[in-house]
Amino acid sequence: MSRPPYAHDDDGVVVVIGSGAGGATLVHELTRAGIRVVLLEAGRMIEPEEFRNDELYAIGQQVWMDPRTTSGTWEVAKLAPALPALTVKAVGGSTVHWGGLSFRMQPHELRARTHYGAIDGAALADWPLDPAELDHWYDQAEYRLGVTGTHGIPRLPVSNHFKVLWNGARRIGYRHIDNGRHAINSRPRDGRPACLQLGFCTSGCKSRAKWSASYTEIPAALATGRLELRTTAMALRIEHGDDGRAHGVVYADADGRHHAQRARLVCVAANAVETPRLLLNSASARFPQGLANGSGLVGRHFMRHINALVFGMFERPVHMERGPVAGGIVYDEARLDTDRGFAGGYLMQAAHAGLPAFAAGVYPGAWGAAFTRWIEAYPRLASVWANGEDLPIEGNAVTLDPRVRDAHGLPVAHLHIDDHANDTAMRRHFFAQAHALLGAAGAQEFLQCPSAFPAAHTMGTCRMSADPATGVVDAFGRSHEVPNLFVSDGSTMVTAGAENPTLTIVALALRQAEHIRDLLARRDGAL
Amino acid sequence: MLQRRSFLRLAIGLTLAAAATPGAATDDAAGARAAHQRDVLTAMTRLLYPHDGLSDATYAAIADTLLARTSADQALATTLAAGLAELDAAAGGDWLGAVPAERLALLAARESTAFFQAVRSHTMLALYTDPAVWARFGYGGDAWARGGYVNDVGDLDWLPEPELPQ
Repeated sequence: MSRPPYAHDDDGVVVVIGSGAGGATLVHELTRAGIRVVLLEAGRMIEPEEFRNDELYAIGQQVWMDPRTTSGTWEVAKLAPALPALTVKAVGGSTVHWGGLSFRMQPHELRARTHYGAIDGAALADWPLDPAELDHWYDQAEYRLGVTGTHGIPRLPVSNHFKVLWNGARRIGYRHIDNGRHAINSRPRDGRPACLQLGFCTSGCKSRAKWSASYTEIPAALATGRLELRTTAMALRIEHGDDGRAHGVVYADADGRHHAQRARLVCVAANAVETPRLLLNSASARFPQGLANGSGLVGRHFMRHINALVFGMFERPVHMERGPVAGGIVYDEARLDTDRGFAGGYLMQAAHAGLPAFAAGVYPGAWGAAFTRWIEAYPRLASVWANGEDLPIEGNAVTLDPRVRDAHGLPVAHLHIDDHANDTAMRRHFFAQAHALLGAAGAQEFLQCPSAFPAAHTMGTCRMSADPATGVVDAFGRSHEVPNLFVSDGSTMVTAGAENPTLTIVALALRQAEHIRDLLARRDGAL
Repeated sequence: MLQRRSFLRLAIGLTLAAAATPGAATDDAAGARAAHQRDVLTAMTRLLYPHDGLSDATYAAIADTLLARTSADQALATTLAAGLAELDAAAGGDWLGAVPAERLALLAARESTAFFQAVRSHTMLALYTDPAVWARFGYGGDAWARGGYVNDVGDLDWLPEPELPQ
């Protein structure tokens, strides 16, 4: 049994592409079970000591800036087309800059086709699994991440921003309001300290109180002695043999030199933008539509959640930045209730922006005295942010853009998103509710931001299905066509639900890891 | 402290701006043109992001750092020179001499131009990534340096305390 560094021609290793929530969790589980893994990560390891409490600096440090293009009626295409997706290029992927919110999807969301019915223009489907089957994995994921409000883990202290949200929400009749469900230590746990209330969760957690895969799963996997982590290794192409099995990954190192790593099994966890892009760029004579794309659905059904944001200006100080970025949640609107004029639901969140992000990000292009009044009122601002379910739509897709090539000569990802009437109705409802909530808490003025936020939650582009004609992978994320190829990130999600996706991605990765271990132990003919 | 920082930035900016226009010391016309560009840009930055409490020197320093970028960015230099000249022309030759309402209207009419956006985005970033500006407007900035808000969190006292589920 060899130890790292593994030879490029070692075809007994599992190659995992991407070290985010899905990839890092999978890698940890596989290596603990004795499986040898090469993990290819396009970015580098950024140590928490390198993080700065500086939102714009953090974007430059962490965010994937290789070009992506966009089109469609979504407001990003018009107002902020330079950056249609906000994902991280570093070890840990987007777990470096996430806010830590960890929710289970609701059973009816996993059975959206059954419960919402058919919706014109949408490709709703039920997930090919029993929702109850995920309970065990969600439970494991909550324990792994140290989610507050679960497993006896206390909530973080109440912040000012949450006080505003809670009071406004109660006054307009909401009843399910909480500041729990953070993957952020409220007490020392798992060798990491308690939260210092820095308020820069989304700039990278300097204290390590927030769960980020870069300083949790990855070091644990390395400690098994079976993981070889290759950073600044950009996967370019997955290669297959005449037998239609994946047999390795070609990647570029930091100097642009190409290497080919043989593999027993390949797991793609590059997020729902780069995973389909890689599969499409791996087209061959045998797979002319892209590797594992016999269904034609690789890249399709791209979902990103409906996001919307309203600020209120109060007469007295709030100091919304003094606490976690995700200050608290109102759950009432996450229910299914089509009397509101839309299917699916949305979470309302107290999500602060620091002054730089407020000035630069929440209202692209804003200028003049009407805007600078808000800047000067910064200590008296509070916000409500919507995270809502968007529908899987076949035309909303990640495709290859032949007009734009990356540094390696490969076509970049093009994101096409058209808003659906359901999205518009949901946003309209949210804006009315957010105004009411902030007003009830005492806000005198309101700033309703354009919904031009880049996609930070990327989902759906390699959807699960039981039938190979209607999806890309099976219920365990295994390709219908290429038996030793798995997808291990949010691409496999069939529907988006109203919930931030990370806990679901981790739960699915834990479940997939068990499945892969079983398949390898059985010496399944295909593996 | 604020004045010293502004002075230092002004001094650095002026030095770089002077270096960006070679021969400015000996060419009076070019020097006057550069000074006029600086004056118009300074007034423009304040119109874009007006704060009564920020000094003219603050805005002048922002104009200087923008002009300093033109030495390494010919496209920006061209955009600025052309945009400033066009703005003056639209005001009958002297934008600075127009009444405030007209100055603002002429500027706003050019919002979708590359010139406007170049000045706007530079000004916005220069102002709102400045810790001195943060301090003036009550934004805490770097929390790590002060050990976080763990002792202050939740100190808002003008709303009732939330009641949380067990």
